[in-house]
Amino acid sequence: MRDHFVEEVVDLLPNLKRFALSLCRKGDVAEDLVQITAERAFRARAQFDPATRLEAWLFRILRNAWIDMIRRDATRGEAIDIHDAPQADPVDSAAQADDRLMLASVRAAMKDLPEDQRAVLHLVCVEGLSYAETATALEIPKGTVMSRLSRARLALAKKVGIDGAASR
Amino acid sequence: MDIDDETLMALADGEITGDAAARLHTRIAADPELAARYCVFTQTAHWVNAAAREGPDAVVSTDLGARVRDMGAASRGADTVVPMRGPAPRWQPMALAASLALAVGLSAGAVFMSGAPQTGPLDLTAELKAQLGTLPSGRQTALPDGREVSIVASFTDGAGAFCREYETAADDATRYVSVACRDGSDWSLRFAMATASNTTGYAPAASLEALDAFYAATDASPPLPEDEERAFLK
Repeated sequence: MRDHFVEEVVDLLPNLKRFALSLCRKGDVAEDLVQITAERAFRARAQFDPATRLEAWLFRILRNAWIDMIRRDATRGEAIDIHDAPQADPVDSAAQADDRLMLASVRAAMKDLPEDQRAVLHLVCVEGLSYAETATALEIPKGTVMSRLSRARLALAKKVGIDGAASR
Repeated sequence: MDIDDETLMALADGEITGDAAARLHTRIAADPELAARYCVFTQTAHWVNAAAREGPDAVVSTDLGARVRDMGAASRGADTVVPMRGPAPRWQPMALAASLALAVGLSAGAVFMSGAPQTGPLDLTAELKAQLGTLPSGRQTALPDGREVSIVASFTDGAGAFCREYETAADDATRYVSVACRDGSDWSLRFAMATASNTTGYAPAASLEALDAFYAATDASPPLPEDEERAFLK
């Protein structure tokens, strides 16, 4: 018999992988995070409220798994630092002329955002969560979601040369 | 009246709808400068979405999909509920600790403290308290009693107390992960758990679920950034 909960989680694995990548930026670590998330979700499935969106609940579990991983890695001294936001290399604004270059520029600029801004940006703009769902997933106030999201987008726009003048 | 960035962003993201949205669109249509600011938010949403979805890494391996399916199948009928960090039902600490220790097969269980002095490997000596108050996260040091202490992270609990997660290792190589919080000028142990003994590695992810449950119960904040942590250290 099909277990719809399991199937829905499996269907959302690509979304979880994308969110994990936005946090940790490493493919192998992202897969570990996705697996830990699924494991915890299956254990805690009785806590899931079917009236809410499953992906928002899963993103929250993944985010907490990421925090736990940071706690471990801080002890091991590995070079994962959520607060490390190095300055980006200047992004050539001429990249706007070509979509592929633009996508590469956006990806590079996103990597240089602080982790807290990147998480909010990803959940709203990629996964399509509402501000309220994002606030729940990240366990922060809705006002914080908006301020981080606004800062992230203005910084991104500045780096890749989006000034609102060009219409796409 | 000026329209701020967060309002324009909320409109671009579909958070503002109905009459309010229509009024804003009318204003935007009549004001090129406002339209340019609004476009920054619609365009960033577009490009961020496209960049993430077309990224080369966002493919889930076949193995992972299969493993998750197997885990899901194995979990059916299991009545195991592990509280997560954040809003979660309150629980009886010792009962949960015992059940989690059983569930994850630890050789030693978890203990939740109320501040009572401990003895042995968990002892909060004056030297350890001094390190908790000064040593930044990620650093290690040896204590005069032979234990080695590694500070994992700092956070604040629901009541705003400054807390530190740390690991200690004694001569017999048993490792403990502990949480102590500052009460005024003193420190009290709030959580401690023995991880697998005779290993130089670290606890498997599953064994940290008891710690996760503790964080859920205490409304712990995420790990403090370095600058915020520094403000709490002496």
